[in-house]
Amino acid sequence: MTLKLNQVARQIQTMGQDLAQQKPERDEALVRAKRLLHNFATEFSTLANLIDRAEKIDDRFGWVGAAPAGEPLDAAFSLPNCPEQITVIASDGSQILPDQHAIYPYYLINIGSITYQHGSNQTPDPFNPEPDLNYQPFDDQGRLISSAEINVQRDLGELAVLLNRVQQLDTPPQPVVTLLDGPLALRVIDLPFDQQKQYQTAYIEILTDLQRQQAWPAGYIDRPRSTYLLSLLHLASLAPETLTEDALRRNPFRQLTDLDLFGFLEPGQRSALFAIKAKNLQRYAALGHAIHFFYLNVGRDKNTPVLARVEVPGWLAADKTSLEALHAVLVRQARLTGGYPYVLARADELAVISSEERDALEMMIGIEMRRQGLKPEISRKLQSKKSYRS
Amino acid sequence: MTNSFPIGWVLRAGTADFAVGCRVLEPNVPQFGDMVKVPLTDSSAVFGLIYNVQVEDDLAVRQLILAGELEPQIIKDQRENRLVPIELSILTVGHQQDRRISHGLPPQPPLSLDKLTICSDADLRAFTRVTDYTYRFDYLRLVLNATHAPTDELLIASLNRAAQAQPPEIRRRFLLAAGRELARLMSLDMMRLDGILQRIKPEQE
Repeated sequence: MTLKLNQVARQIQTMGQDLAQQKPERDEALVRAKRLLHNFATEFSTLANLIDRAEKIDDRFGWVGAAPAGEPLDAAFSLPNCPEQITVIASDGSQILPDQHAIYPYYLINIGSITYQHGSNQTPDPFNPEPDLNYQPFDDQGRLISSAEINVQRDLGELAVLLNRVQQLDTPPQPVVTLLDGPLALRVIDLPFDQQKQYQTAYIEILTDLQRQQAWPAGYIDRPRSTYLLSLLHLASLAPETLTEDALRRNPFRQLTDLDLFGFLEPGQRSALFAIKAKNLQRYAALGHAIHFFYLNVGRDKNTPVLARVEVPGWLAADKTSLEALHAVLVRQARLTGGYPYVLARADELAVISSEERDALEMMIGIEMRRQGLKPEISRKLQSKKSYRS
Repeated sequence: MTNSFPIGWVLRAGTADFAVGCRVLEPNVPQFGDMVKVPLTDSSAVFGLIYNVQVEDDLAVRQLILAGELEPQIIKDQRENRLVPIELSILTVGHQQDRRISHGLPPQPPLSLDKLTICSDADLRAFTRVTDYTYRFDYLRLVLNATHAPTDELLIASLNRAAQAQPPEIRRRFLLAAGRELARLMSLDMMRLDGILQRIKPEQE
């Protein structure tokens, strides 16, 4: 055992005391945030005006927050009836990142997907496309590809698999939900600008194809830490003439997350819909897929809310009938496992690469390299680590 | 019984017994007491008897049970699609080299990922037949000596299964021969012998 638990014990004690000391301040912030939520619940034009001003403060600042989408901010919508027949398709991905100390710095993306047809009595249909082994993981300057880019490729692959599965369905007339684990929008922020645009364009094209197929894309975020709504509430608390970058940055709700605001949702209820305002999501809005979200209590117990955030494109948010069906089926799916959509749990299981599988893969790569007269070797550093850790 | 498709793959093996991972239990396959075969090469194989079928613990299944909302699709998904960990324990009782079948432990155990098949009726007959009218039951001693298997139940299940593989007109003769061999091996434990004989007793002609 290398971690000296006795030495860290004192720090843990301090941590506990600090967290307890922060609680009153946090509770007070929450009371203020909730008051703002109720006070501004239907102040749509005031908020629109403030958002407009905040977005224009400085092009480099880029205010990020929520905007009302026509529903009172503190509204709660009861659990609708779930359609008798509705299909949910989920996909998830995992990856092996390139390791310069391995026998070769390859990377691999593995995607898992499952199609679950409620009301059909059909066995759910799992699907794994061929894993994507990439053995040229270098950019033009010979640098190893970043993990951020591999994550983007994986996310793009997950959405492409959802489209593929929708196209393979025998019975398209019933509603089809296509579900991702995580935000609906592609996270490209860590990539160079030209790559951001390239990947985002490809991703939005697939979203458009899903829309054409009448499938409903949604991103399911379990225990989200986002603060879009708190940004809006902070903005609402400011007088228009005091709006500055500095004032917006001094957010008094930084100890909270949006999740803290929605403890009032009863089992099965969803919150109001909101649109996300962010510069990096403008392309989605421009192409008809403005990212919207709502919070959802998928739990059964009144005293223990199980909250998730669900992201949907604007065209789906505007269709109340479809939104109700999505709301209902997500709760149904989550309750199958006790709090998380069954299809997402299964898609993850179908995608995950175990350490044993990774070892086997590397053994196969080593054998093939030797067969081709090459000399695969792990680095001395890795050899040493393996020796000392075994 | 003529299943020649693999029902599982060897997980770990020793000379006297081995364990097999199995994706899902097909209706009636495999069963406690079934004789199984692991082909090692084109001309050699190891024979064994299934003495335990274990459905391993699975956290995902526990979670579904706790949630208590088991839709039929979930049960189908879990049983037909998921790698539900089912482990078969096999007691080694014989081996084959070319066409010769020997009762007893093999020179080498099966290897990981060797395929397991259920023995066909022809395999079962070949395993116990000497001539059209005589049989050999040397493997019964291995079963009786197994300390970790429910030996009496295993003997009863496997002998009844082997009798079913014989033509109807000689099943009685087969079981009588097996009973005689058991009587010889268990002569010091008459109570136990009687318990077994009662349950492999052939129907009166």
